[in-house]
Amino acid sequence: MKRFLINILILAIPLIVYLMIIVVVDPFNYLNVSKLVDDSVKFEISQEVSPHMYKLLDFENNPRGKIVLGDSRSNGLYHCMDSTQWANLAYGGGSLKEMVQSFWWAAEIQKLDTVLIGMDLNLYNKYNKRFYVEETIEAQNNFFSYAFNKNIFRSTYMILKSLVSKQKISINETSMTKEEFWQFQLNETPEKFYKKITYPDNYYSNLLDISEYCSENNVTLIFWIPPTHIDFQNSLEKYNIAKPKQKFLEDLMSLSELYDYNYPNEITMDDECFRDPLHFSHDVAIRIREELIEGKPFVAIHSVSAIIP
Amino acid sequence: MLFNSIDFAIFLPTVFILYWFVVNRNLKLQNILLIIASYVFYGWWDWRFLSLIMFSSAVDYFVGRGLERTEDPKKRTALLIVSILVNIGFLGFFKYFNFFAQSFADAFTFFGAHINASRLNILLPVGISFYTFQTLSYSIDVYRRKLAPTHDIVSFFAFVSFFPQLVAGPIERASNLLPQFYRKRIFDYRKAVDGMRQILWGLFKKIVIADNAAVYVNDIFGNYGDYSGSTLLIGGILFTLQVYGDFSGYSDIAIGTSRLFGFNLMQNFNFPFFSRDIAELWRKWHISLNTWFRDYIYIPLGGSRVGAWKKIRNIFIIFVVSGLWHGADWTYVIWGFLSAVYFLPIMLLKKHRQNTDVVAEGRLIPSFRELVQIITTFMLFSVSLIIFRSDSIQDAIHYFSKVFSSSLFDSPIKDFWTMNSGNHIIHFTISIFLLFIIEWLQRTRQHGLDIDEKNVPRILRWSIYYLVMVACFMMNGIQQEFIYFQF
Repeated sequence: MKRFLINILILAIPLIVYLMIIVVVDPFNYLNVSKLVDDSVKFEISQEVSPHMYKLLDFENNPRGKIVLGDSRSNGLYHCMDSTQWANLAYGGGSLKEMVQSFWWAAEIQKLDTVLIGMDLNLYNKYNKRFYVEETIEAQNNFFSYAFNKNIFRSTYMILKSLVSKQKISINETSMTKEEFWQFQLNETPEKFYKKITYPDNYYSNLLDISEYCSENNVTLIFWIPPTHIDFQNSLEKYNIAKPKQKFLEDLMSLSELYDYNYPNEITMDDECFRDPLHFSHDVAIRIREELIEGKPFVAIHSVSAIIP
Repeated sequence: MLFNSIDFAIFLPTVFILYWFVVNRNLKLQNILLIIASYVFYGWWDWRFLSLIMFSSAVDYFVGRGLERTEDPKKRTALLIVSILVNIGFLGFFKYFNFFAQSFADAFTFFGAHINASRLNILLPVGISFYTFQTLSYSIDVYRRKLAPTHDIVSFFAFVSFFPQLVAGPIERASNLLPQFYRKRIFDYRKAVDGMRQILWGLFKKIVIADNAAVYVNDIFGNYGDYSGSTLLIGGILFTLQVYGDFSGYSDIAIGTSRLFGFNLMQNFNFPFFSRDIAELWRKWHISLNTWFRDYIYIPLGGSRVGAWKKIRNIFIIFVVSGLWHGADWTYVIWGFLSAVYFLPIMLLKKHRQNTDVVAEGRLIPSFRELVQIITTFMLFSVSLIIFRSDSIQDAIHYFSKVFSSSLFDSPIKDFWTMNSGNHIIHFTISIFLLFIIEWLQRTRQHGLDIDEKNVPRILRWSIYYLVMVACFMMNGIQQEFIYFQF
């Protein structure tokens, strides 16, 4: 028996040491106790490794009444917003499923005031159903499932590496030039996200639930459709998306006010307004923010006139 | 509580320490501790379920005592009937009431009449299909005089409720497990270490294989109309892996946990995916249930020592009842029927015992013939499990019509691409390969991590343990409940 217990203990030592490191480093501020690692380091590294884990836990530690939901375009918009009032629950490549789950996660923690949902037709698709939010919520259920998670392991390793080497760690950086990436996006994205657009009955009912909740709880709900470059809009013509797009717009307009930036206009026709065919520039983000939040007219086709208090 | 949960991770060491350090000097106290621990374990789901298992245990204990006291055949038969009625009655009510009520109403509707099926809001107690069969086997064996009835009520209650195998088997025979409660358990280092290995392997199969397969299986079966035939076929294969990983994983954890406490449970899965024919697969899959049906239904019906028609009848009865045991739905009945259809030719041709040795014994690679046999058996089994998994017969028919269509030859890659799984599908595919390789190499042993300590140095053994643990952490996604809990 003694030998068995000693062997179990020895076997467990690396696991115990690992847990202690996690307690000290706490890459996603799950325990939010240790301040040995600066939050700016965690922001740079952990948010890149697992934006879902980072943002959900950040909201739990610092809940705010105004939230941004969506994909990388909403994420881009958030960078020019007041982070003391607004929380960022937008994830690069995010799915509508993740947005819905994030909404309810936030609503359970904090009384919401305003919800900005940025989405395009590619998200309003039955087959777009990434589930990282669900995985993340499950992973942060208790300390052990948090600690023994691949993203926590990876973040911790990179944080320690950056502290030891005193060098910035680059994650998810591309070696392509702007032109190369521009063409890459035009070649890859339409095929991946628009080839099999199928009406998502379940998503409509999810959004309806959100709309009804917001209506009952005096939460301002705004949908906005991010602008894409005209090159990208033209590349979608071969997928016959006119009808699904029309239905998509009708559905959103039936749920709440809508700002549609995604049509041929002075912005979408200007290369300088975009980093790549899908992602608008910071200057455009500022103008979009001003229109959505402050009511300063920009280029959106606005279905219901309203100004966010 | 689930085996792969924090609750169990705290529960198990606590019981272990109390068992070996606090009450170890007194056998009766040890058994009482096991009863308490088992009731805590079982009551964790729903404390109301405890009354059922206590009542079932009490009935069968006193039936055993009653059988001992009388030689009158009529009284003995009556006592056995009481045990059967109570156990099957519980099972019938909690599991099958709504199914039979609805089927009865549907039959009347078919003939033009209309009956409102009175459905009850019945909660299915976890593990009821397992422990009722376990206690029933005790009563039957005592009745047949194959087993002496016990006078030790504590041991008997501990036998019925023994937590490692309570909710999902193996379904133990009293002749194997009950005597282990009479004997003092001595801590056996090698047994405990191997138990820990088996638990680890069970966790790997559950967390890495079953839970990750479930993500795709749920998507494919929930949206089968949208996918190609090739994807649907893969869905059937993934479900086969899911149910194997889930169920055999649970069995490994149950057996491994029992060994920590000095108990030996029966092997429940013997690497069934390397079977060369259907008969061999059924000898290696869910062994405890299949041998139960063989010993308590098939053989009493005459087994295979009867004429051809009765033999056929017995085969169908066994497989259909087995299907029904799995669930109260026509899909399970049809699955059982199809399994009988698979089995029948090999039985009638008397070839059901031709593959009883270890496949490719002494060789690393199977012969081409063996490989074809293995793949064919696996695919036949996977196809049958499509019915098992389908929500209804209609869904199963539609599913099959898509599988056996021209889209069977479409590439499934674009379908999996739309599932937005990223690198997950690659990692998962590697895990499946690892499972097959490890189990193939270990096919002569008790489980995947049954390591011979004499031939494998400690550093290599411990490296393997850590690799398996890391795999569990890295592939730990959305936790799924054990499939067999619904039975």
